[in-house]
Amino acid sequence: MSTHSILETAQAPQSQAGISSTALGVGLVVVALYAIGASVAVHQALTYSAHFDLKREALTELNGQPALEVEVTLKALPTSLWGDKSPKLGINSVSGPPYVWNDLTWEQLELPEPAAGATYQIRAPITGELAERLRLDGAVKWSLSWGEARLRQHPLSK
Amino acid sequence: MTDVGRARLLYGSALALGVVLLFFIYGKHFNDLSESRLVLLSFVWFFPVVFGVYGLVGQATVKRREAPPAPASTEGPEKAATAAVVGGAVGAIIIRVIFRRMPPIISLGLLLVLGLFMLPLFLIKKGSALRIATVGTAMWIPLLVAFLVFVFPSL
Repeated sequence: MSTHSILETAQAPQSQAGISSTALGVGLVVVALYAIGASVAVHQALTYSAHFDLKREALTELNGQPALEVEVTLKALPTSLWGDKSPKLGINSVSGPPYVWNDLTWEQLELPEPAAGATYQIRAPITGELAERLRLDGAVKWSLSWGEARLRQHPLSK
Repeated sequence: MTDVGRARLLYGSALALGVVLLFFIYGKHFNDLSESRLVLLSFVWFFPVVFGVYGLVGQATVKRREAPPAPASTEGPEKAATAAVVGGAVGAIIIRVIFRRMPPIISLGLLLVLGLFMLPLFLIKKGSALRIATVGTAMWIPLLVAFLVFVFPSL
């Protein structure tokens, strides 16, 4: 490197668009630590959520009105009940906003006490505005949730 | 590596991390996670993305600020006027398309987000790109919390 270019480099003002080597090192360490922390958080979230095993799902009719039928095994009880205190079936309209939904508790579904390893056959009528949306959309979404545990499905059509 | 290149590496790494997390959570495991977990995990991917985007946009802003003034030319005012007219027209078309395609609440929300995003770039006139990225990211912490607590449940 010539004397001229050395002087030029030394005298060149650092752009405010840049950072020093030290700042880069510190920044990359922070990014790496953040990546580790984020991986742990996502892994933990997935572990909590793997509680249901879906056996069957169908849209049928019950006493002349549409109904959702779901057969599911509860593989394990949720370790955290942040959220719903007992299992809950939610049925949502596909179209929106405004979305229409109907939440049914375990008691409303008249199901036995939830237990690890047990399989449940759920039959839930779809009534009112949600039934009208089902007629228009040809599909609904449903989800089964209990605390952190969640089984969520893509739109289900007849 | 130049100081600008080093900064780009840092912002690019943060942005890449955020995008990877975003696709992993919403693309691969969307149906495996509860809604409450998905809401909580938005904090995980959101901040690297915001930091990276503000860093890269801040770099461009600072570079433009540091660029030597263009030599005086008789075409200057005309060019600036043309750019303003073209920019305004494009902006108006984008806003018009957004409002026609989406419900008003989402259109207004998008414009609000865009306005809030530009805020640190306008307010920090003398700071570095790193400062823009830091302030911008810090600004979005309460905004994200407010959105998830007050707005998201009503959508």
